[in-house]
Amino acid sequence: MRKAFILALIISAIGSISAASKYPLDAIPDSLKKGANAVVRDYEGEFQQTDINNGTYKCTYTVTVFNSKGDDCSFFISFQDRFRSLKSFSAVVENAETGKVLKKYSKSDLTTSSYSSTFMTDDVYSLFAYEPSVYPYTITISYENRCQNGIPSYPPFMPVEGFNIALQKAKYKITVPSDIEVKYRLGRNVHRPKVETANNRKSYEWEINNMAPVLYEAFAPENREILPMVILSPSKFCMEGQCGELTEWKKLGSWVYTINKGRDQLPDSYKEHLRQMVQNAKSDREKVDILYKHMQKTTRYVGIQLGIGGFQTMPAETVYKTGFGDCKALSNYMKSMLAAIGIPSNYIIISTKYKDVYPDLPSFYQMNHAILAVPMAKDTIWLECTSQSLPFDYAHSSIAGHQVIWISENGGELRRVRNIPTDLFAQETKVHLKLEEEGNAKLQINSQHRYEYFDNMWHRLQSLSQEEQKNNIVKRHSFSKSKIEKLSSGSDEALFPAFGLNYTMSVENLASRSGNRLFVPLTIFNGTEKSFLGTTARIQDVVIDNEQSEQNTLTIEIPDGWDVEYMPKEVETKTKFGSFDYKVTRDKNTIIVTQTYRLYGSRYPAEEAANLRQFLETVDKSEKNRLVLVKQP
Amino acid sequence: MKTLTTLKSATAVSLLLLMSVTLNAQKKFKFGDVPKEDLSMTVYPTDTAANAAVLHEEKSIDFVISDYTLVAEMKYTIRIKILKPGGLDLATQTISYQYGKNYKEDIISISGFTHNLNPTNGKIEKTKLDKQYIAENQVVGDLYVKKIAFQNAKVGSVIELKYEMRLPSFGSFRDVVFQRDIPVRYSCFTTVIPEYYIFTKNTLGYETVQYKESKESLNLHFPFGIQPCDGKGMTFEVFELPALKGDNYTWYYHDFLTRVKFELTGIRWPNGKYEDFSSTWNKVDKQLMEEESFGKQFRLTGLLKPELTKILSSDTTDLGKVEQIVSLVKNKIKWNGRVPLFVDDVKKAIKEGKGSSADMNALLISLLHEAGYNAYPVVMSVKSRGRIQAINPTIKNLSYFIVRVDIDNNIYYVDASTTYGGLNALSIDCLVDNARVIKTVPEVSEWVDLQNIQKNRVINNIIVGFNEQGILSGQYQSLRTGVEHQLLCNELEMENGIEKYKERISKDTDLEIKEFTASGNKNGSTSTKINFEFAKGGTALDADIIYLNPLIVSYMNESPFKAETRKLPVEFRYPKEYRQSVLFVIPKGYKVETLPQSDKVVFNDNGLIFAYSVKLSGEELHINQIVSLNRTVFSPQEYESLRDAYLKIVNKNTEQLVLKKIKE
Repeated sequence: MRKAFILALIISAIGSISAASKYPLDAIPDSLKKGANAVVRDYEGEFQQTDINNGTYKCTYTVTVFNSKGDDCSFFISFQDRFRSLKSFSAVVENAETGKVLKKYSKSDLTTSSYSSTFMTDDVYSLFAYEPSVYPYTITISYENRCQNGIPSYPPFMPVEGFNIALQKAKYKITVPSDIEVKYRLGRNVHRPKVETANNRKSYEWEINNMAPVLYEAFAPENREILPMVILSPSKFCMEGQCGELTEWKKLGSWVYTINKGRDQLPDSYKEHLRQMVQNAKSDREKVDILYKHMQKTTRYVGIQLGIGGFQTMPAETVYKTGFGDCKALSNYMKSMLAAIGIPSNYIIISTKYKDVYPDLPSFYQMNHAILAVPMAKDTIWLECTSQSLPFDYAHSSIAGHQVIWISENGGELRRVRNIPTDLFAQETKVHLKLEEEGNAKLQINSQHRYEYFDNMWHRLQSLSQEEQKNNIVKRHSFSKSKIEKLSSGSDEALFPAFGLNYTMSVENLASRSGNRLFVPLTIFNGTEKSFLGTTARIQDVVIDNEQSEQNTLTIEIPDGWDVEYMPKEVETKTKFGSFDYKVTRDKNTIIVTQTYRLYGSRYPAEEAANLRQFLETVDKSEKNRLVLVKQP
Repeated sequence: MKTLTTLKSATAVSLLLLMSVTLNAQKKFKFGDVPKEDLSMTVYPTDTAANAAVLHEEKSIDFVISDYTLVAEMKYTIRIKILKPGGLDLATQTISYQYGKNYKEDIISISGFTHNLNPTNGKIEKTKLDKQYIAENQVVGDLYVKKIAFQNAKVGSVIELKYEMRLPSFGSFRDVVFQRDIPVRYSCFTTVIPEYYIFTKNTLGYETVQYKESKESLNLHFPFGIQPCDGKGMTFEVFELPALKGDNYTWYYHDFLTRVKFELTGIRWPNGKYEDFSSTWNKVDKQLMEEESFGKQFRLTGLLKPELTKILSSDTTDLGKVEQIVSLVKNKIKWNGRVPLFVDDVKKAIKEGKGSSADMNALLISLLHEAGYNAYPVVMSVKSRGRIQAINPTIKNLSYFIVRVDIDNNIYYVDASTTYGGLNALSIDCLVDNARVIKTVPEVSEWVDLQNIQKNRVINNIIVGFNEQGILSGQYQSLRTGVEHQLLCNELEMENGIEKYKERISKDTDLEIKEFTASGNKNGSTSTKINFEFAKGGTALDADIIYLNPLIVSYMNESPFKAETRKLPVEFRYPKEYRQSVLFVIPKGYKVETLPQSDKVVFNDNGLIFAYSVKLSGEELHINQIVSLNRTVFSPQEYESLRDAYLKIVNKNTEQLVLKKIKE
């Protein structure tokens, strides 16, 4: 009892000491508060690499959170596997206004789980999510990670992980044995480090002070470009005895090549079987096609990430036995199958997230996927090996145009996946519409979808029954009551395949009738809106990754005895962002509406945003056009 | 007509054939031995789009004695045919189980096969499940999952999985769900229950479940010897269940799946003693009210005494005092986002300043009691967790509670964890058609429908005409109450909420919005008012003919029910009423060429009423529309008429007024 009393005294004493908080609210400059849901008050990360395989990372940060949208800042997650472990964790929360300590947490308060969407990994993760009772609150989190068995990458200096978070003060220091060099890439507004050498050790130190929050905007440049951060990488590393260098992509590629060498064995009987499968093929391309389809039919994606940090592929023989693997295993398996018939191919590592890699910072951190490339005499066949049904040689929208690391016995080489050609329209529609007096109509629709449109349409419809497909397709239109009569769909397997849809549809009240007039909408499809920019002043550049292009033709047969009273005017715009042509013409009882739209994939400075918006709004405005018909007396 | 009949009989014949094949297949079922016709099947006969199908599923539970306690042994077998790439997900199966200190579910054995037909020699190839590809994960706490990846599974494969699990007594008796989002050819559940245990069962869903009961004799092996007893054998079977998939406008899709629910209602011990478990709702009430983390938490006294005394001594009505008590709870405990049925710790919640909805509502009841008001807990299953099965009284059915307070013969419902609105403001998830007000003797508990405890209204008034510059302009005024008020508050209180709202409305209506004001969008108020002035370009007053939609703001431009067919009922989230009146001033120099026509749709029970009326008097055109959704559930049979009603609503909301310049 007495003990408890003393303890209580001590605690309250601590409480009153910290009531004079190190982080008073009024110490935050007003310039940082605007638009901020939270402010990182102080951040200190320190990485100590003791030798090639071992190191410790200590990090302490304090954040003041103003409202629930800033709660992400008090969320902590730590992944642990054979290479990383969490040594310590603590968190202290105080009322930001009074400085009173509200609660303290330790490592035993973490929730631990090994569950993931991946089938098999070595990962275990620990997480902590603070449930606030008051705002604003200030939370200080401290933790220590231990790295062992190899250090292929360094923890990044990333004091701000999202939007609308300001930063007061942040420091990061890394110390490494002097035979290792730290390679790094500076994010926006980060200065070069202070470098010191002493006792055979080299240290690099960064500091960032007083940064206003980066506000969220759609179509902004990548986070890694606009948030304050430093991405770091060692010049060399070992993993479980396999050593490599990260001074250039070539060397990273060599390491990948080496650890996967000899993992391409297949049983002789199977190799013979493969040779027989392609014996009648007329070209190498056809042979690759046959084996790719065979691979699609006999394997499936199962995420198994074990082994050297998840960089080594499962042996081809294992995939042969189990019929499954992750992207690395399946790409390597396909490569082995092609080798069996004497066609060389290259294992490729790629990012599905970033189109470009940092050429001067070779790092695993930038890559998240593997595919296969088969060089042919004139061009290259690109194979996505994790899909059972994508067309052959199809560079889908998360890899098309992306920079890749091309792996060969000569190491890694930066190349690019075939880009989307700009001479084909991404979407083409042809609609014939026969209008009846009461406003009902019969439509004949033919549409072709490529690139992202292909991916979307294909994902949307491929596993649905005909009835479900119809119910899904009517949602492409704004018509409240329609019925699809004949429906056929399919993809043609060209280099950039098109998903084609053909159907006839009867629509009730397509045109709205008022007295002896019919108001006919000239937009047949839904979701055609182009404008994506808000009216608030733009801060970041506008980045449009892929060109958008559409061509639509609508032919309307008007009922006998009716005449045109109003027809929308022609629009023709050509801007630096893209072009838009809109024409409505009449040929006796037929009205023809043609629409051609292009938005170039490019990057535009923020000052151009208003002009871009104006262009897009011109396009959207025409979507609201109607035709007015009047009954002849 | 004739072709139709032949078609029908052909279907009937093929169904019969299929049935007999199915029945034959059942008889012959042997694990590890798949008939060739199942391997060569390329599409499922009755559902050609199916990605996969369950060919055979068996689940049985037997009770054994282990260490003087009753333990359930569950045996499970499933055989699945993979028909399309989309069905390959099923080649990785998961088993979740609990493994804690006090409650352990042991998986005793797992085995499986993948069967393929070799395309070249037509032989069946069998791959045994390799234990290397069974992954085990701790999800969180005591909850674990085993993931099983079948080797060599591809389109066309048949996979088989078998496992045995040992569970503490009745943990096994959860719902047995037969129906899935893929077709099920055959599935059965069998069990023999020792005579001491009394269960009730309820079959739910659209499809038929065949049930057989038999008398069995059992031998329970106790350490002291064998105890023979009678048992009740139960067999549930389903044949050819169609796939059932979710759809929009449903509260909880699981409610519609064909399944059997079990509930232990009592134990009659060999010595004759009978232990009764909740078999009536009154017993559920009693059990809850005696529960440490429920009823007992409503009788706490002396909490927040100074604040309460202050409120009670204030010079306001009872209603005003209750409102202040509700605010007091909201001020003292910040909601932590959790929505449990059971109370964690009210005192701790006050101390820490945060707690769950249950903590908040329990405090509210205690305070109301202490203040001398009649307050009751109202228990329910929230919409997103499915409906209460009233015939199956059990706590397991309940997931949430709110508070009812009676003041001078008026009844109010409160959930202290809702942010916006006053008394009677509940979140949409709580607006259920069946909730139970728990009253203790001498009063009697009652069932209530919470859907209409407050009016969810949107009332729009618009005055519009052409200004001196010839631009269409006017004033918009909107009043929102009930859920509509809450939803609008949520939207406006978001980051840059007002700006985003204005932008959205401006985009939807094509109006330029000025002088925007919103009032009442704060905590505690019961309605929001929106006012703005607007202008709409693009309609030139010098044109000979002017076309425009005189409603200015449409109720809806597109029907939510575009799909031609629907299998599930349509369930709206809440009843609501939308009223709009527009005064349109015809510009000088123009006359009306065509007026929109008045129209009306009334469902026979007034479940949905739509009325649109147009009146022209002099220069003033008055348009009124009412959309009154009084019922929230419409059966699949009503879908067609609902679809037509929405077509009409959309048509009227897009209908044009035509004005013509008067020739001088």
